[in-house]
Amino acid sequence: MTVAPGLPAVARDAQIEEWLATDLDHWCRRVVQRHFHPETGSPYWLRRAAELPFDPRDITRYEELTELGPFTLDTLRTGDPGDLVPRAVPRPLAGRVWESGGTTGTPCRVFYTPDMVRHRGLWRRWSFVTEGFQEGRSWLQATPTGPHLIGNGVWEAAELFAGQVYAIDMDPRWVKRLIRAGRLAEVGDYTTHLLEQIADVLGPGRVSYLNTTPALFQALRQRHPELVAGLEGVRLSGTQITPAMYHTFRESLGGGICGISYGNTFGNAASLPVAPDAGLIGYVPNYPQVTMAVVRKDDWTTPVDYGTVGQVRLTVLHEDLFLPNILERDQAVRLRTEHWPCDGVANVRPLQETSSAPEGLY
Amino acid sequence: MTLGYLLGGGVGTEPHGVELYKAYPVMRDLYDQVSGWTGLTVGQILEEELPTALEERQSTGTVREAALAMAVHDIFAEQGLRPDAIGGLSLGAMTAAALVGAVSREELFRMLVHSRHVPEPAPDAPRQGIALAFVPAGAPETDHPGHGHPDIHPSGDFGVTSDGSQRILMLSGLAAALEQVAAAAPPGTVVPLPDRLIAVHSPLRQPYRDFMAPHIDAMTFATPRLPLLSCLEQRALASADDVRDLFHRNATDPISLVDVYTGMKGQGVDLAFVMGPSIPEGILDFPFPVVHVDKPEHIEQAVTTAYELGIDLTTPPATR
Repeated sequence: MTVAPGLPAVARDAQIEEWLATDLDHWCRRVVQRHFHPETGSPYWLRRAAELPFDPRDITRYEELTELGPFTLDTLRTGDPGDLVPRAVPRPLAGRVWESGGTTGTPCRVFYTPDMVRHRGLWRRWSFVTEGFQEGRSWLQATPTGPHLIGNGVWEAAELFAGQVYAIDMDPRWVKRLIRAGRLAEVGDYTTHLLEQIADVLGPGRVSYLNTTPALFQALRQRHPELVAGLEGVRLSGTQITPAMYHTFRESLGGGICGISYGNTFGNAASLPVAPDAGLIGYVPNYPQVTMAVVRKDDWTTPVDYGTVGQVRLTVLHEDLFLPNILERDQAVRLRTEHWPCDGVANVRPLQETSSAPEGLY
Repeated sequence: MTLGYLLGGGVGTEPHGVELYKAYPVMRDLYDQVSGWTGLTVGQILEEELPTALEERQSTGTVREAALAMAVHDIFAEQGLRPDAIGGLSLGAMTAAALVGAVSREELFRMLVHSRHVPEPAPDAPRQGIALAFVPAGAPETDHPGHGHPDIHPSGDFGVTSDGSQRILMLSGLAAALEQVAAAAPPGTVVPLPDRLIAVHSPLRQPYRDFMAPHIDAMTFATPRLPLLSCLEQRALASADDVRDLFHRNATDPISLVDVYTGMKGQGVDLAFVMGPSIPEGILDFPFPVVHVDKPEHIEQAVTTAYELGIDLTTPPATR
């Protein structure tokens, strides 16, 4: 797979700068017009347009996307992923269908056009550079692969970052199935199985960077601290990470890099630098293709105040994939950003109910 | 990584745990046992309307709450998951004591059901009650409208709210005094709790404490097998006498959730499961992530969180 063919580093950085300078309303109009174009739009959105009480082509501002309602994820579980891709993209479509975690049931599936793969790769490379990773080093990718987009990191590190990449596969669906069945001893066995493979690769000291999940890195740190201490850096995503975990990881790595990101198959966010002892881990989305709002748990259309916790609402505004108002199963602190054109999110964790009845305290 | 179990206090009137009871045989076995120890039917323990007489209602409610928290513990234990430290608030502290072997389960439940025999207040006795007081987060605990009132006593500290703006305190005392203070205070500052007719954790509970003292003195206590955090002061209960002392004082002394979770943090707790519905979700701030468990789906969420945060799911706590 070619991620960014022939695009020199300067051009890549210029592309990121161009995106960050984009006016969100202008970008929103562009994506909406493309997906709802009568001849070249995407089949799914054209079908939806016929059911809507208004013409979605009249949407001119990002805030107006709420008129489309929350995106129904079942669409991505049962439908043809190609139906979300505008007909402007030549048929037959050629590329990968990626799946969401699928740890809670039937996975969601989305088709990634070459542009989407390239854009994701550019952002990922930008994150690597920003976090201090060096090109031309060796990596171990110990993450889900197969249907999971995170596994594409093997190619991204190799092709965009001139890395020599070792890979170990893990199956998060199997872990979740074991947990659901209460087979915790087998979860432990499976973790040991993964750690043995990781230790085998890391043992001889031939790997600079590890790309894995916070959960697996935590287990590695506990069982093989010497291997973690020998790394020059680690890149983490896929499971929740707390500020306390992050600081522990930094300590275990000595001076090594601890890069993290938040996201899923639909869209991602890169972490902002985390100050020593900080209680907040902030992320900024891959703007303008990805934006994230933090909204009230009881009213998905209304953002919470900065610094307070709400549900994460994700919007994908890619030219080839339009997914407005996905209500994530995550909650986060709404983050005001100084050098980013949109809000960020911080301290992401699985969504919790919020009681409105403090009298239940006693 | 260290796992803590946190048990709330108080006695709710709504039934909880019915779905868990249907889903987990280990919980049904426990409820059969509790039924045998208490003479209550499983239905009374689980979901039926609580009795109307004040102390009998309180007694049955405590059996219900303690049984549910214990059942959640047993569901995790059956899967091989146990805490490294445990703490509870009021009834939760006593239930926690039973979970770490400081008192037998049977003795705990026999004590709870014995409390139904506490004499009811005289018909002409002034009504008691409790209220929550909401004060600015940084304010001292005396900074509430009921401070200094002879018929109002500070009885609990639940700590800071999840948005960091307020601190929630509990006040116990005569209902008329609480209502009077609430009416005079800015709206929402002091909120009397309906159907809470006992001035818990205050000197007004001295008759209850005196009645229960001989029963508690006759109970057998042991050294807790795991760190058991007190809700009466910020420390771990280290001996059988410590635990007995908590059982005695719990009725009349103010409780502090802050003391419990600060103590747990001091034990290195990185994640806590809130056992049962006694601490509402999302209202309070904790110094570590918490997962509330009172429905079957919460079991999976809790274990998944433990896995993701690096709690070893298979190693006994003593070696973790």
